[in-house]
Amino acid sequence: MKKLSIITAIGVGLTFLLNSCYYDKFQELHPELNTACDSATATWSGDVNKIVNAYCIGCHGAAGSGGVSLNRYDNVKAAAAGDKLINALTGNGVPSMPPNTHLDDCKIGSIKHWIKNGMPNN
Amino acid sequence: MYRKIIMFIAVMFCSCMNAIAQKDSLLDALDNGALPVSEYVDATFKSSRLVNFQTVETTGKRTLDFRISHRFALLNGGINTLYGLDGPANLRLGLEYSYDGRLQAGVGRTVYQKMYDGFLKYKLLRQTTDNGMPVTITLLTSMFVTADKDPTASFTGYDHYQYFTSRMSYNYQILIARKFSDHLSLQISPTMLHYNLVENITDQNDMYSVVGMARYKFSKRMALTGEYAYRISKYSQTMSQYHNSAALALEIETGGHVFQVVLTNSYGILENQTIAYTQNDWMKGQVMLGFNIGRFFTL
Repeated sequence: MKKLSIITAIGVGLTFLLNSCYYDKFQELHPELNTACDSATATWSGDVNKIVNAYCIGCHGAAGSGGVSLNRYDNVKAAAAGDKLINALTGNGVPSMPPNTHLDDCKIGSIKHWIKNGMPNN
Repeated sequence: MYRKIIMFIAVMFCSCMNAIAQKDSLLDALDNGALPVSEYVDATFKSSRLVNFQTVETTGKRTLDFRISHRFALLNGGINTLYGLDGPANLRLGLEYSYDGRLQAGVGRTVYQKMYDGFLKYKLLRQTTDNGMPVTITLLTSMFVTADKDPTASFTGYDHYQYFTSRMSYNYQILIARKFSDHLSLQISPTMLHYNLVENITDQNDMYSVVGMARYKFSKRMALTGEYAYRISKYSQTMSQYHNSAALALEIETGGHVFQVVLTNSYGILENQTIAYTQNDWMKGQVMLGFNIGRFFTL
């Protein structure tokens, strides 16, 4: 009886496992997103601030981890001006940030262009 | 009446002497090595995890293993981050139980990616001392579900986790290990990972790898361990941004505990995080400290 229960449990588990297997690709689910990256038109409000809010602000808020706060335009501008921001995003001489993932080339390119354009608050 | 009693005692005496003689001859045979003793090899590894990856071991009969795994930030942050101890740190809490010592079930929750995991593990074949069975083979299947939010959804308007199934991924492993001596154990684990959702059209939902492990016990209670995951398949166009997961650990066994001090390039703790998506490179000194603690309770 005990063996039967175990075998039944494994059978139910495997059925659940196999039935929940999918082969989805995000680009196939949303083909409208497969447009070329246009980082040259990056703005503070449209791109950089959103990237910072999504990936950085969790640790680098008002009481910023490691003494780095990115909660306001002025703070981001100060970090970006000293190359600290780009070096952190690309792992150039310092631990790569964010610590758990890589920003794709398009997002890093947007921030680079915004810096190159003088870091406007637009 | 007396005759019957004497006869009974005589028969019993003869039977006893015969049994003693047989026992003696069996012991003699054993001493001479004529009859090999076949027993299962125990403690190929001391815990169900070497560092991040599962070993062939299952917990003992009716034993609950409460596991705490911790990974700090990169060591190369220097004294300013106290060599990574300032964090951000990753943590997994897990409970694993076996009723019969061969079939084991476990659940856990990891901070990184808010990942819930569950697994079933079955010790199919056990190495024997006479080499009738030269290896121990354990089958493992794991399922992972992330409870994280898509960080890009706020500005793209598209949620990667629109469907619940997109949160799920799986790990299947055949764990093959041999204890070569009281000091040395090795394991190799062919591995398949499945991700229900991948990013690019050219990415593969299934990826294949092989994990190698070694344990060298150098004192009664201490051992050095190492593990390496080699990625076989070209699973993603961003694959070159990631690295093979490798770890070294010092394992200390105390009564009812196994404590492991870890040096690894993987911030993640689970197979779906470490094998395919380890970001740090040992060759660039991008490693982090961590520890695992296993506490056993017999229920």
